[in-house]
Amino acid sequence: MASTVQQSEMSAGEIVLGLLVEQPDTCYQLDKRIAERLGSAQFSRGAAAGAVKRLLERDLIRPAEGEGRPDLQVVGGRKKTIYEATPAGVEHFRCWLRASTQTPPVREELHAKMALWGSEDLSRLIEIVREAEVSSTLQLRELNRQTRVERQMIDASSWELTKQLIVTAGEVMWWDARIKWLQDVRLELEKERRCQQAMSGSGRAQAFAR
Amino acid sequence: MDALLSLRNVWLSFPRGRRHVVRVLADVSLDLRMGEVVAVLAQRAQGKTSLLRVAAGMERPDKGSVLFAGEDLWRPTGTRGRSLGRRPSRPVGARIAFVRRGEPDLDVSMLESVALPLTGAHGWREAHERAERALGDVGARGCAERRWSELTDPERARVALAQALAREPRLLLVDDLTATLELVETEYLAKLLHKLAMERDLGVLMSVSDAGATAWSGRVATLAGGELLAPALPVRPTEDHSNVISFPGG
Repeated sequence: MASTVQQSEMSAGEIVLGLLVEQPDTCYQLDKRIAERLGSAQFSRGAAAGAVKRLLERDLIRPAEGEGRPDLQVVGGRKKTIYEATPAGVEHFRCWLRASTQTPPVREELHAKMALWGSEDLSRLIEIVREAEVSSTLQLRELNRQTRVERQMIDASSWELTKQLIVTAGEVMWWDARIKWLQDVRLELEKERRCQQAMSGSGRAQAFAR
Repeated sequence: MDALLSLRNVWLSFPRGRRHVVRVLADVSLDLRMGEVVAVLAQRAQGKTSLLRVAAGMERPDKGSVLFAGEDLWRPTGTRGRSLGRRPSRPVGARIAFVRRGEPDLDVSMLESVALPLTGAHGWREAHERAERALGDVGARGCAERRWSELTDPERARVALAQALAREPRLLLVDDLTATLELVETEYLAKLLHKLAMERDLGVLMSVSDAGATAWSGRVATLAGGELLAPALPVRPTEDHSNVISFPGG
């Protein structure tokens, strides 16, 4: 994805903690669960490991204990540690969950380009915007594809479905707004380009209203 | 596999006043196959309805061709190859259905509203059987005995869909059906269209004004300034898409 929107100051830490409160797990499984639940945040593979390390340092999680070391899960012949939240971790997560949420700044590469672009070579800028629109459509389609799999399995009349729709809607609407903004930008740039061509070109200019 | 609907290099403009022209569709190409749902995302007044009207044979493009099941809708049929006028050359009304939300002309029950347009071609009994089936298919059986003024927005949208389905079309053109609906109902209708497309080999071209309605579409395109844009197939999220091309094939 070309843009770099800072979704929030949130790192993978709060998410990993929350997932472990839900269910103790290994780093490997945590990466999978993060991708499933919050795919469009685009955390890298291995983000869980870094988060786990920091959470361990703060005593918010610990390796799960039990008889006969059931904390060690055997995966492909190698033993992986299962982590769980400590009581302090559970409390920390609960506070975070219920705290008011921040409104992040929007730092978007394309905004910066537009602000800094001169009045020449509008065709190239229009092309960039057009590519961004197509790319956003692609991301939307990919998001839809991912969420459809989950929706198939949920009972249609349940709160689970509504919750999933609400969560997905947050991401879908972000792409919706972006696509519409890009469309508006493209139309304005094309209008400006036509004006420039009309002024510099000879002969009658047939003005296109759109 | 041949496309059910094929738009090739379609241009459409409308005059505005004496010297201005509004370009509604500019070199638009699109292939839709049976069993496929394609969503076109566009804002107000960007040509959503015009695109569907062209696909339905209700609006003739200035340039380009519209093919339904391989047949050019505007193929000249007069002597010496001249077109007889502004009507499409094939009677396609029965196989293409247009879904649009709007108050029906007659103040009758929804069952009648769905059945009446069919009675001429199919007789009273079959028309009513089809109407009942269609209302059942969209989950609006409870609306059968009620009137338009008594229905909620979601119910009206479902009845509008039933009206089109009762005609047993091969191609369904859906014009912003979910515009005022909330998340759960939008999801219901989007999923229903997907299911119907798959089960009945129906081709669905739907225009939408919000991306939430694209959830169950096989392909998504955007329409603005007359240009239809879409990613090419096949795609994987990790690939670089900076050189994507637009329809057809995408």
